[in-house]
Amino acid sequence: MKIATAYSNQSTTQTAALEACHELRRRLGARPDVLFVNWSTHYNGSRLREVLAGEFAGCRIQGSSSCQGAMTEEGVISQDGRGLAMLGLVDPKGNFGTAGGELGDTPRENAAKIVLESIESAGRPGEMPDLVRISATPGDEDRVIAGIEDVLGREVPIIGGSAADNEVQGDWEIISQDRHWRQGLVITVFYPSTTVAYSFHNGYSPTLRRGLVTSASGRVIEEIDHRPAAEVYNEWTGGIIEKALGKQSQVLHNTTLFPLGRVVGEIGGVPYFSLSHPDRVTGNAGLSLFTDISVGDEVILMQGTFETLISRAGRVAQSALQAGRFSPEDISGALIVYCAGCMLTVHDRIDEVVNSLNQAMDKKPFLGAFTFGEQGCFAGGENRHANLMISAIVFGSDK
Amino acid sequence: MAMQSVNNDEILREALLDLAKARELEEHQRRKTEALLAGLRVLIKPMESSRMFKELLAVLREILDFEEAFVLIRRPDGSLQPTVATSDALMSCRWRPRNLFQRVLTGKPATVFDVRMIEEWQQQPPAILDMVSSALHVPLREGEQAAILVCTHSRRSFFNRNHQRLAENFSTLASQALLNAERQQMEIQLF
Repeated sequence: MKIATAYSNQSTTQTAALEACHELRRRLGARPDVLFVNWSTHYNGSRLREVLAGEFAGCRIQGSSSCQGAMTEEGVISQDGRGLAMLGLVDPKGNFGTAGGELGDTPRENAAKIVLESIESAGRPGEMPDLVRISATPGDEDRVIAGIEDVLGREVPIIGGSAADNEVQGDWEIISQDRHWRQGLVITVFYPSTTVAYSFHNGYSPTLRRGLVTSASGRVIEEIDHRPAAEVYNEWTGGIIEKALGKQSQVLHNTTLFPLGRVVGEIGGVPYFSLSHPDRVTGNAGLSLFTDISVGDEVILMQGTFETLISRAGRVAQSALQAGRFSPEDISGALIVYCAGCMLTVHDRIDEVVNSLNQAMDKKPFLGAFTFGEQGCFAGGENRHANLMISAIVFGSDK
Repeated sequence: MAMQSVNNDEILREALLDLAKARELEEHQRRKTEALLAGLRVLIKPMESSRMFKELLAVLREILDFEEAFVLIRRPDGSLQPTVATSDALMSCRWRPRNLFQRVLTGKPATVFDVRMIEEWQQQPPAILDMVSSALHVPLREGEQAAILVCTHSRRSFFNRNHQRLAENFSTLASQALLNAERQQMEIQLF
């Protein structure tokens, strides 16, 4: 297996795409079997797809827009919030399939259909893939996971990241080799000739503050312990959203270091958590999140720091290497998902995130997206959608 | 100070999780080793070959959790025929290799989440398809007398890549059992 990355900050979609494609072709020395691409919404996803499909005819393509650009082993690809990066994978002995579609009103059923189409596209009907990678637009990720598990069962690892834009305005996009969507899902299934390993973590610790969700709707917590959720959260955090109360304001940047956690499982008595990032105070002093929430969920206030958000990326990569029993020299490359909320928080120090990844993976090629939601397989094997998470998929050099 | 405390807590938490995972892995490895030993004991005991296979499949069932299993051998006409099976219904099946089985016969295992999507399985009688939804296919040897171990389950998507890895680890036992059975057969014919 061979992996290489390329990028561009050129101002137009056409010139940026062509520049990156030519560089990728030069580095790979071959047309990729599958191409992963992330771009800031400065670029036009539909035009981008046309150029990529033209330059790499017959190649599987999975792409999603990413907050302010992307990152590779060469650094953060973002010039004034504009950047495009891609990772090409050549594996003639492996099989890969990519398919996409709209989710519409039946996201679970449509996700099931799309994963079957991606398996068909790989030429491996009926066969369990080693890994499923998803790129969904925000909103239906839990149902997407459920739909894929309806087909493949709960023990297939599902890893991915939700498409993002620069200003949380809904300008996100996804592409496959065939089409472009503003709402939908693209799936790639992997039957690689090498071993693939993964890891899915967050860099937060639980505090003593916890409560029960007593009223909720979709992605909004209305009440915690029968009190308005935003007020409870504000008390727990010592007033970090005080100014937003009563104003229905966005609080995304204020809350990044204090998400709400829910226990997913335990290993050896140690719990691990799925996170939800509060992004807005609602009219009734509720809190809207980037994940679904249900009445009866126990939520725990979690705490992070700049240092943990920076160093966590490298540790997630190391964890993936350990899972595959790889040394850095054993891998061809990696796909990273890093929450856009974390990226915006560490902003000036994002280069340190790249450095931590390069240290862990010995500067092997990687593509990292900045996403508005992360999907992955927790330590106990649970596939979940969560926020403020980091994931790494690493590919071995040979089996 | 508070920040340092949060950092330390996160590192400690991660270390605890790593230790717990290492302990789980160790337990898993121990179970695997014990099963391997049990399988080896079956192979070295002098016994009639069909009984040896049955006992070996019982050991494999403990570790792989399959419901039924059978071993297919390639015939001179290229078809595959069962040489041993945990159920009589499976012994009467005949198999014509197509894409999936051809690939397995070249040495690549395959985990199938729905056998009804596989050409070779679609050729089997309805009674077989009623009892099997997912299957693990493990090559035991290649060449003219190629052999495949097939493990099945009635639940769709039952087998995952961990099962496949385990089955590959244990395939040597099954290959050896096959050799022992064939040697026994030859001895019977000679004497």
